[in-house]
Amino acid sequence: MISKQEVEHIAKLARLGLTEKEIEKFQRELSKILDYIEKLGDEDKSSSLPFAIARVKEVDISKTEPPLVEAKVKKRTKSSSPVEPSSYPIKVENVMRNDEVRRLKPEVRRKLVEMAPEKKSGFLKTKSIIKLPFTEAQMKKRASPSSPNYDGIN
Amino acid sequence: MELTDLTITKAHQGLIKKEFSALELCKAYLEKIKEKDKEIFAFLTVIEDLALSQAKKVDDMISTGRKIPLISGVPCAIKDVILVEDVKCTAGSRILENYIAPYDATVIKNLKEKNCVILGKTNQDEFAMGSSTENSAFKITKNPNDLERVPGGSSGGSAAAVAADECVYALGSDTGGSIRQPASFCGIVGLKPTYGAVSRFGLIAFASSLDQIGPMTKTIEDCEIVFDAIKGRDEMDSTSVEPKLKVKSEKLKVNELKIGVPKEYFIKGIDPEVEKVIKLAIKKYEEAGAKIEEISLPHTEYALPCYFIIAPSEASANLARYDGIKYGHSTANNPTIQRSNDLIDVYLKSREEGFGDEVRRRIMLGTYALSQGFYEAYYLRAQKVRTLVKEDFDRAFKNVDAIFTPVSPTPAFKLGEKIDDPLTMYLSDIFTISVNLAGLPALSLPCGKVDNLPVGLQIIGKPFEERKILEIGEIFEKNL
Repeated sequence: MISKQEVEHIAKLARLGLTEKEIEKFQRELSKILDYIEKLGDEDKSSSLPFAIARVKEVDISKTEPPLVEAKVKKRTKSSSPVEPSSYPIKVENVMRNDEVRRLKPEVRRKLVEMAPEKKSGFLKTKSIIKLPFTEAQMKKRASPSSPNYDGIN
Repeated sequence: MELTDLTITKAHQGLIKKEFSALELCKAYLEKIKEKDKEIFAFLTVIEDLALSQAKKVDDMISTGRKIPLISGVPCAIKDVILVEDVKCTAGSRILENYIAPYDATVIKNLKEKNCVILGKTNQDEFAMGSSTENSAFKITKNPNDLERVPGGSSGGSAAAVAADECVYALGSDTGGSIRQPASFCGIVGLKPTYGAVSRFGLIAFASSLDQIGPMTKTIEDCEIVFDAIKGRDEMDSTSVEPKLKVKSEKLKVNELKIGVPKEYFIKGIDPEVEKVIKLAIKKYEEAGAKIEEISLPHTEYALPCYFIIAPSEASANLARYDGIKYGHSTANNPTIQRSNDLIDVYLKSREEGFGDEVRRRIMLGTYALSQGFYEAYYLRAQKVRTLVKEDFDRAFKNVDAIFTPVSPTPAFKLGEKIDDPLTMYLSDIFTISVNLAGLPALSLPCGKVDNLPVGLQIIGKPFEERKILEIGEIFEKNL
């Protein structure tokens, strides 16, 4: 069972707003799913096996259940070789293209910028993400005389 | 002549023999959608103008005597997770409710080059997360075989549209069974291609190492036609590959076929009636001369938990892009948020309002699995299990040409039956998920019924042997 605090922490990491009621709901549901995932858990941490003990006792399987295995130890046939992780089913690695600027058609660029809820001079606008060492008024004063016009930027 | 129960090949014949025009064909389907979709709810957007103009173009080509490709002028439907330029693309989510695709996905570009006619965009589970299409933010799609049942998911709208004759063929996407399971529930043919066979550029990402786009059709022949039209290496998708082409050998001989049937797929929990239908189909292959062999895929039971670490982890990263800043639903202009100086409030609120429950559940699951201290215990371990699942198949394919299993443990279930229990819902993908982890091609082929409900046989092949599994399927479709 994961705690309420954990749910709140994960939601914050994932940038998801939750109401009080939802926190409880997700706590319940996530716990159930995580218990199921524990099937991959390995109680013997020293083992090179990616999993060893199937812990399925907490799983609620009402209708279409997977095979309920008794807690048992599985061994790889080639027990000495550690299993490599697979991030993709096919072997591709670091596919590169030439480091060249690909210019978008202006209308595609316009369409992309148009979609932003807040924009200014052809840029997307957000709330500030860094604290400024001086005020906005000071900024304006500094920038205004020779401020570049960004409208025509590609 | 009934225009709305055609296959691609029949529609093509009719067009070039001038039995009907592409415009007539297109109008017949638009009419059918108007009438039929009131009870099926397969479509989210119907794009009449675009469809009609595409059809007109094909008629012009025919009238000037030009040779047209098979899919030219044949009306199709596209899952709403695939971008069609200047058409709304929601992925079944509130967060993209007003998102207009700024460009075409590569698969759409390929289809348009062959003058396809796109009727509209089909309903799906939000961001393709679900097995019943009930997670759509917009509507509930019904199974044309029984309106009280789900069409399956997540490509439920595409499957229902094909089954209800609202289009000739459709595209779906498959991350853990999302083409095959709805194809099975609706009684049509669905192909999940080998990972890398079809470009994912312009497919709204769910889990990038598992996602594939594929055809959903009425016949195997159509399935091959659509697959040929969309496959191939694309420089916009670095994981797409052009497999070394083997010259098509002479017709497959059924008495030289060796078919593996994994014992782990016939387990307690599978509907006994479904099991009967599948076993009967396998028996028919045996009687036709194929050699049937029981095999073992020992890590099968770990595939589902493994998937439910990998897919949500990738989803939590992929869905981070919906931040209320660039596009999609945003609270940036909401007065209370505007007063706040904190950017994080825009993120939190936009995502709270935009994402549905299942999507938030999976984002949190993935974030948890990838968070500090858990990465090794969950994500890395799951990737290792993934290797083992793949090795199971490699070993099996040393001795057999194809593997037969059920697509889903049950036929289509009732609307609302599983929606409140996420874990039970996940289990309806238990037979399709290993294939995505291993990146293999797999076909869902209608092979019988339980009462009135279709049941699909899953035919799994070696990497890039789509043609072979289609041929194996055709043996059943035509002769058994």
